[in-house]
Amino acid sequence: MTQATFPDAPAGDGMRNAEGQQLIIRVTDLRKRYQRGRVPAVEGVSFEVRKGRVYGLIGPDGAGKTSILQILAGVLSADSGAAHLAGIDVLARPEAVKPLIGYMPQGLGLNLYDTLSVEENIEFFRALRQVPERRFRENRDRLLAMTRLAPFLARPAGKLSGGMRQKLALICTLIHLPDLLLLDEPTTGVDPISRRDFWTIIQDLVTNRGVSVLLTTSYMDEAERCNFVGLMADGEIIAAGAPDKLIAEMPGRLQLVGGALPQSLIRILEQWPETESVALFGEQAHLLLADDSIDVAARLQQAGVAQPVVRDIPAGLEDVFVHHVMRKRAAARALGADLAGLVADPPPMQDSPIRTEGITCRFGDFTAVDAVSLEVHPGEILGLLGPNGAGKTTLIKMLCGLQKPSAGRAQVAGLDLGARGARRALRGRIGYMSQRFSLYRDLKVAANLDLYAGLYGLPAEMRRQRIEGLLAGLGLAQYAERRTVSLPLGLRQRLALACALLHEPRLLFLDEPTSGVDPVARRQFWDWVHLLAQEGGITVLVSTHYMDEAEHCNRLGLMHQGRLVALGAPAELKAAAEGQGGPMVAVQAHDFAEAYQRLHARFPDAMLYGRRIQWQSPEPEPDIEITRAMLAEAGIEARVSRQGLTMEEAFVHFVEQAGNGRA
Amino acid sequence: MWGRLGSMVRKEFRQLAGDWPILFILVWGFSGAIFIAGRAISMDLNNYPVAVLDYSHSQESRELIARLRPPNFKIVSLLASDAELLGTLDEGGASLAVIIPPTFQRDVQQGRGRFQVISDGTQSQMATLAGGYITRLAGEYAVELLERRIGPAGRTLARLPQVDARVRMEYNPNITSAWFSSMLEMLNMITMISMLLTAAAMVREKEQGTLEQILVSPLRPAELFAAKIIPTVVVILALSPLGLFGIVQGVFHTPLRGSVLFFYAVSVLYIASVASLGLAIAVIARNLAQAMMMLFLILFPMLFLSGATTPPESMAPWMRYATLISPMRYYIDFGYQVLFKGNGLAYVWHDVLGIGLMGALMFGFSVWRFRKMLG
Repeated sequence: MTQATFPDAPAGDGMRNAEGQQLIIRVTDLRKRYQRGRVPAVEGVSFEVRKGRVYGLIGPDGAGKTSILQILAGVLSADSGAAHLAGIDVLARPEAVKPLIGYMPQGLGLNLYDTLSVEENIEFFRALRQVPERRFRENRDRLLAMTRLAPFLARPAGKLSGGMRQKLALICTLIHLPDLLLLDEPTTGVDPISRRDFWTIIQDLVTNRGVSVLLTTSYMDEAERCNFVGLMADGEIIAAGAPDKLIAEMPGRLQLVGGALPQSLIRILEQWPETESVALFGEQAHLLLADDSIDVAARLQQAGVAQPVVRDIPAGLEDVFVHHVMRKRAAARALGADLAGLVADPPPMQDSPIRTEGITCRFGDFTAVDAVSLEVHPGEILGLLGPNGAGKTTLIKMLCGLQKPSAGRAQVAGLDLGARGARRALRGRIGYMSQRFSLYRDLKVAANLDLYAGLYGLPAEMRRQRIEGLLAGLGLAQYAERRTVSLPLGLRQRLALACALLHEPRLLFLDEPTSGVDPVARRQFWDWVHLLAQEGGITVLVSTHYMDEAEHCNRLGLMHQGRLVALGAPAELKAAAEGQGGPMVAVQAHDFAEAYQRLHARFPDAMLYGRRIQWQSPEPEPDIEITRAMLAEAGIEARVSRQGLTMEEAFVHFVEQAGNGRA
Repeated sequence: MWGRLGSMVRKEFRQLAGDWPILFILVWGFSGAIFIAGRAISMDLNNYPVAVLDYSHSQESRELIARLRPPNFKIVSLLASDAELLGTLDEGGASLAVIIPPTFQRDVQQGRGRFQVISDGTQSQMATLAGGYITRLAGEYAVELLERRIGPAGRTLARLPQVDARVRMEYNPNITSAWFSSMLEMLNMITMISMLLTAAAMVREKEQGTLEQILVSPLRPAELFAAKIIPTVVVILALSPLGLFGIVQGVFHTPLRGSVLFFYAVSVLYIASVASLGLAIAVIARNLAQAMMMLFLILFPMLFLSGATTPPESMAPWMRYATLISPMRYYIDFGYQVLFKGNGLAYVWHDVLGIGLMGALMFGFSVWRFRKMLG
């Protein structure tokens, strides 16, 4: 009894898993519904987090991740189930866990006070948590150094960039040296350099101080940095395990298929009963087959594809996620790409749908878009990749005529934006899907379409035909009479696409169209975009902050702090970055923590990705030799290899090259 | 243009039709709110609580006290000392104290009877009214005493010179305050709802991010604004008869002397005009909370400057000019003139002009500001 009421019970005391390892979190059959039980959020979730490990809950918006974190942080009650943190029953005594945890809510630095300076914010959280002075000083200086925020101590938090805010929020969360960190989407929309700093801190805390971390994310690539992940969909954990194990254990076979027009390829592949999922990536399709004994090339030849290209590719966590979701939902897979309803006859090709020269947008003394020059080719999907605040949205708004450029020239759909009346004339020619799918949520699906049909002046007889075509083509027909608010995010995204396509524009602007949407819906969405571009001849300019979506674009513009730091095809960009900065050296060791300690001392850029350690190396061969020797000497068994760059690594390379290493 | 505007207006009605809380507020605003205002807001002196401290204990003092009776006054306590009296006033046990001095009887006989009245001035209007009533009571008592002294009135008095003011209340013979207050509340509701409904509809577009989606479509700013104003006008035209005929006329039996049709015709202009003010606020505000704050900051001065409670003629000169910018000033004057007095356009043309000008100004400002915002 006396021990139970003692708030500072040593972390992990008394909680062990079946293998006798110390646990910091144990959640058993947790359930939570909102609105008097009508809206399910968490549907019987159980998981354990080992002390000193990073556990990631991965899933789209609405999967229940945030609810779980809020319950564990003691700020939300659960309906049933059990949750223990370090032996303390959170549901019974939520106050008792608060000294042990650091909780960072969703949103960029929402716990900060904008008008207070960086230093004052930190001091406020110290006072709030009553951290002893000496311990505070050491901790603060260390964190400031790691986040590189020290030069900005006097700056008000409101004037920091998104990435800096998030790092400051993390410092404030860590200032009382909690044993457990609960981080809710800590890196969503954060620039890659801040993200890297962020993970450096996490790894430092985990390896040096034995802190445990439970975080949520919707980035699949980030999940691979966790020791353990739980994939969440619809309030349940559909798969859990170490990322590399989950990938290795995925049944079936992932293959890259090419050699024919993508649209015909995808239709053939969809017909096969063994197809679990198929998604377009540029000119090729990724095919996941349940049965790995099938000779895909032979079958394709039978189906009339003259020279099929088939090759095995390594699966990622996203493929695992899609696989499990498909299993669970018994797959409403059919793309049903009834393009007749989506696009009209391919319009005649235009000469460069978009061309900008030094287009710039300033708000006061802040430059949102800094002299961007680019050209988009007809029928191309051009992606703008960058974190929140990089200027993607402002650039798109300028090109749509929603924001007046401060300087520079732009030609869009054959109209010079500077000319009188051009912005009005532009409206009928472009389709625009704004961030967060701006729909009338209180209206029915059909009413939303009806409105835009009217606004674009579609003739009455055409209106019905077009709306029905789009509803059918995008698989929305059965939801026509549903109120938009009741639809999941993935369906709202499709509706927003339908609204943007009603008037058959030849140029489509999509501003973060896949943000927060689950991977299955995201892939389907990208399939449509590909088909619109390739069959409909529609030119697409799309922005995203998901690095792994870059592969879907024909060409990619990397944006950072308002500037276009690189432009080219994804493979070109990666190759260029590799050519300039070298490939990655990857180390897979059983005792990865020990290996990381040693390698980090020798290679300061080394980062931990789950159980893998890697860094970019301009001289890979000697580095590999040194690494092998070092690990052999320490008696650590390891596999050292040379790897290509991911898009994120290429991005970081270009940003640093642009002389803009500060985040 | 009509197709675009029509689509937008249809959308507004669809949104409104599904918004139960707003629909409830609208119906309540034109029924319950007006009813409560008519019943509760009273300018009549009813059962005003009086404390009496009688040091005289004479026949005269008792006769005087007996006159303090319902419906105007109600004696709530008979006190014994000064200390008790102040305590009672401080506590709010009574709003008026009557103190009759020990020498009252002798003084009255000698023709210089006096007593003291202490009134709680915090409710200034009621205090003034109560003071007036007491003075009248005292006067009546004096006349009665006079008659007793010089014999039965009639003949004697008739020979004395006197002035008798015969007041006839035109338009509201019994000065029933419910007529006035329910009507004022209805005009108030029309104003408030015009502004709030329109501003909310506009700000919601901003908050949900749908505004941008609308702006890349061929819809023009003026069409967008018109699409926000039209539903407000229609909804208020549809619901305000509930207040006018159901409550103002139905419950309180207020006579409507003028042309109701004329009243509604000008009301359309007024609603559109005030809705434009709501739009102007919505264009400036960033979110609903900000818009509501601005609306209430504007609404109350607008009401005070409307002349509803104090006629502009009784205000300080600069205030009188300030009332000219309150569209409500024109509307209330117009409403009273037409509905209470039965006046026609010949009497209220300047009000109609004022309403129209203010509206045009606001609509123009909104469109200008909105265009500027777009760059």
